This record gives sequence, structure tokens and C-alpha cells, in this order.
Amino acid sequence: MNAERPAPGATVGDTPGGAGGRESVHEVYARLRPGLVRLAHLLTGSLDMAEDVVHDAFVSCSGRWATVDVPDAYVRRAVTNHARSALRRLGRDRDKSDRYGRRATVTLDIPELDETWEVLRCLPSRQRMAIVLRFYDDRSEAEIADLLGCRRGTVKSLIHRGLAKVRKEMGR
Amino acid sequence: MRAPTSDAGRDGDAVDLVTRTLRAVAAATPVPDDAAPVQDGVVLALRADRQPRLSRRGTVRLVAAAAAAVVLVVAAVWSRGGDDVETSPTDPSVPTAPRPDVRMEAGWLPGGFGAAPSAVQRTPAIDAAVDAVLWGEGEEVVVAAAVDLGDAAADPNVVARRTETVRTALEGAFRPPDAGHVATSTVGGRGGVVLTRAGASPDAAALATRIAGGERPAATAPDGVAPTPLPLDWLAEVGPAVAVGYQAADQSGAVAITVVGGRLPEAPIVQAVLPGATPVDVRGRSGWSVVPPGSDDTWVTWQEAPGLVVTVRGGLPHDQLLTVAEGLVARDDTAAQAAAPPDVIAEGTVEGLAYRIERVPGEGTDRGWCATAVVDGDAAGQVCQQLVNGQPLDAHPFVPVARFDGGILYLGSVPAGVATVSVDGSVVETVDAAPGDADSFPVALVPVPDGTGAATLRLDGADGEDLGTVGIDHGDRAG
Repeated sequence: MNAERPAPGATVGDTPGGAGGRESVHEVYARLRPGLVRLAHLLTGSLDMAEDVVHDAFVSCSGRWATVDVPDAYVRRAVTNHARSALRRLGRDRDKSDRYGRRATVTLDIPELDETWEVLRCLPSRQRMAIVLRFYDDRSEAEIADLLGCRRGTVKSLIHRGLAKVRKEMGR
Repeated sequence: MRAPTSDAGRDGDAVDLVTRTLRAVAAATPVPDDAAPVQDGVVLALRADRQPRLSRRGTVRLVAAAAAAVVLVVAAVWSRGGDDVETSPTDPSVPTAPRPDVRMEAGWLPGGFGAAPSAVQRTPAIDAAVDAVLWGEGEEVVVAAAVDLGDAAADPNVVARRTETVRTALEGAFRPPDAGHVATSTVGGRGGVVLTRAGASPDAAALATRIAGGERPAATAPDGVAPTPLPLDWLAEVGPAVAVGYQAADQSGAVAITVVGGRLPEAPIVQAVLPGATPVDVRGRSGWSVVPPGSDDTWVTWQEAPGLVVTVRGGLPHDQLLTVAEGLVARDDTAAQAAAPPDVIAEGTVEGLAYRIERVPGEGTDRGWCATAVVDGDAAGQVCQQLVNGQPLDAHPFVPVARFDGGILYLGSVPAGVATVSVDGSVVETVDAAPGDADSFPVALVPVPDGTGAATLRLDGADGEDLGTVGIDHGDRAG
């Protein structure tokens, strides 16, 4: 996993458990939350859902904090898992889908990138998650397969189909 | 961030566009700084602070109602006395002192859940001998199991159903539906089940056929690979089980609590079988938290008592599920020890040890009788009639109570009708835990010699009728 490298969004020089002590949930939350909200936003395509996902991930992790050896990697994985679960529930729950809608996000004022982001947001969630984990979170296919609970071949397929959709929609 | 070279090629332009987009969106993502800070150790309080958002989301809420919502009461009482010496429930050794009293009692359910179960399902132990092994690591794990009905002329449909039961139990824990391979095969009264993870090379179907044809599962491992025995009686329907389901009133969630008469395997085996399993402490019990790949559900499973595995499963946030689990775990309750004086139902000497078996009524409305083995004057082990929602659990644990020269003395409960228990040619008569009581059950104090690690106890009725066998794996305690 990506335990060794800084997470995107983390400040260079952040050291888990710095100063020789083990970081508390509070400290890790404060340090990682911005980067994790950004990741969750990309994974879910929703700002509202991103905040909830990160929050729920920390709540989930807090119950077993004493057993967590590498908090950064653990929490990051938890965020991915919670995003996956949230998107599944969203798919099953029309009310939630309406509430989150295709909903609050950001605009970049760069037409090409805004259009691409809209295409990515409209991808099936597993395709979007695979693409985000590969091209933003810098995960290997094996890591993505582990996170999504599928085979490496499935990851290849998800990414290929997602990129094909982007090419088609963007005329590339 | 490195350039993803492996996806270059004709996707190169799209990859570049996607990467730039994702980075730009991430950089533009606002991160409100008004979020309530997480307080050390009180993250749940933060959820309460965020109640409006959570309510809007319709998330099922955890209601701290310790006095309400009685989830499940399961009697699981060990002996008690003097100075307690804790031994790990997942790695029990011969007790040198009595175990603490433990019992399950009122628990918690998320808000919106009814206190009454929505479903209760009892399933007996599988009526077939199941022999399973695993080998390999990570994505290369292979599980191979034989399901033997002991009758070559058994109804093929029954053989297929038993084989399917083992397949289903294993598959539910072992692998996501879209990875690896699962194969079953039946020949005569024997079935073979093989599951392989995505990275494993063996041909699952070929191995299953070999096992169904009579080959031992361990013999199907590649040369030079030492397979590890894989007990399966902790999986519902392989071991006897009671499952109790609870449903949120608005159908937004469900929790299933399963009590299985079995024993959780050692940690390395659990981690091999349950991908992503992480250790959790369930109020002092060593347990595991698992999110099976491809599943919405989280599991929390732990060894509540010898021969009693509890699993809480549901599509709830982990912290809620853990709280439900912790609500089920028994608490020490000194006051509950104010039981009636024990009745001695048997006494004598076995393997040079003076013993007596005492009968005591279980505490609480959902407890049956308990039988305590007192060896050389010390309470050394106890088995109880285990009830779930008033119904007896068809589980018959054997607990080690003392070591003698050359073996271990076990106290066990056996199914109704069993008159004798025999092992290695020696025969022990059972005694009724509560003669004349409809809820009575036979118990036996059985000396099991040290040997290869596993012993098979044969159960017979009063007229010599074969009533099955019980396996005891005491390899880790032998010697």
C-alpha cells in the first residue's frame, strides 16, 4: 500500500507520530482531513458526500485506533472503503440519490477540464473510483483491485472503459 | 506524482487529460475549516454534534439505551471462583484456575431498530464429516474441503446439498464473487469443495474431483507445500447455529447476530480465510472485524466462550456494529452468582484425579442448566445449556478441565440420548445434568489421551445406537 509516501494533499514534512509520539485521532484528523476530503470528492463526485465519507471513516477508525499501526494508510483506505459503500447505498436509495443528486461540486472555469470532470462524474462509480485511484492517488492495479475487491483484470477493464468514455465524449 | 507509464499508448491523451482534471478538481475542492474538531477518544460525540447532517442523510442512529432493546441473551457461563486467570478464548489451554463468569445480556441496537427480532433461524450442525485444509498466502490461498457422509450409497441429492452447504459457508467468508474460482464435485457419498483466490494457480475443478474421488484434501497440496488444517465448525450451518435478525423500522438497515457452536481458528488462519480481517477487542474478547470484498456488510466476530462463536453482521458503520457487539458480550456480574447451592450429580476418581460434577441452574430467564466439573477440590470447567431467545442451541462444547499423566480431562455436553462416550477404547457413561427436567442434557467427563492432536469421541445411545462423533483438537495442548 501507500503507507510510505505522503498522501496527496498532505504537507511535505508531515510525519505521522512525529516528535517521537503516537499521533492521536485528533492530530491525524487535523493533518489528513484536507487531502482526504479532496480524494473523497474525486471518488464520489460530490462535495457533500466527500465530507460525510471522511467523517464516517474517522469515526470508524477511532474505535480501533489503538490497533492501527500506520494511521495514514489505514485512514486513507477507510476513506476509500466508505466512499465505495456510500456509493453503493446511493445506488440503492433513490431518496439519497436525489438528495446528493449530481450535486455540489466545483467548477474550474477551464472548459476542457470542466467537461472532462463532468464525464468522470457521470461514469459508473467503480470506473470512476478505479481511474481516480490510478491517476490521482497513484495506486497500482493490484492495490486498486484490493481496495475495490476485484481482480486486477477487472481493474484494467474498469480503467480502459472509463478512459474510452472520456475519449469518446471529449473527441480524443 | 509519477506519470502512469503502464497506461500510456493510445490512452495517453485521455490519461493526460484525466490526470490534469483530477488534480485541478482536487486543488479546487473547498475544505471547510468549520468542521468540529475530533476530540481524542470521543469521536462519537462529534457525530452527535453533526446530528442535523446525519439526520438529513437518514443514517440509522445509535441510541444509547442500555436498559432497552434487549438484543439477545445467551447463556455462556464458565466456572468462577478465587483468583481468575484469563486465557485467550481463541487459544484455550488447560485452565489452572476457574474462568470468570460471563454471560450475554442486554445490548444496544441502532435507533429505529425494533427490539423484537425480525427473524430467528436455527440450523443444526452439518450431518457429514468435513475435513478442510488451506495453503498459500494472500491472493494465492487455496482452500480444499472434503464432505463425507460416510455412506457410498447416500442419496446423491443429499450429498450435493451437504457439499453445497460447505461451499456456501466457505464462499461467504472466503472470497468475493468475482474473484478466484470455486468448484464442487460429488462422487458417491463424498463431495469435494475447492476455492482458490485470483492469484492461485491450481485447477479448482480438478482438485474438487480428486477430493470427491476419495483423496484427502491435504494430499492435493503441491509437493513441498504444507497445508494447514482449517476448522470450519465456526461457520454457520457447518457448526450448529442460531441466527437472529433485526430490522430497522424504515427498512434502511438490518443486523444479523449469529451464534455458532464452534471455535474460531488461530489468527493466521482467520486472516487467510477472511481477507482484510483486522483484530478488534470486543470488550476483552479477541475478535475480528471484516468487510468481505464485494460486500456492503461489516462483520464483527469473536469467541465468546469455548465452543461459542458470535458474529454480528450488518450494513452499519463499523463503530455502530462494534457497539452492538459489545452490548452482547457478557459482563462479569458478581451478583448473578447468588445461585442455588449446587447439586452433585456425579463423583469419583478418573485417571487419578478426584472429581465431582455439580449441577447449578443458570442465571437469568434465558439460561438453562449448567454443569461444573470440580477436580481435586477446584472448580475447573463448566458447560451450560445455551439458549438463544429461549431456544436451546444445538451446540455441545467440550472444555478442558485438567491434565492427567498422559492426557487431558474434558467436560462436555452431548446431544440428548447419548448414553456413552468412547475414545480410544475407553468408555465413559454420561450423566443427566438435571434428571427429570425437560431442559436437561447429558454431560460427560472424558479423559482424552495425548496423541496426534485430534481425537474422535464416539457417541452411542443406551441400546448401542451410533449417535455420531465429536472431534476434539487438542494438539496445541498436548504434551
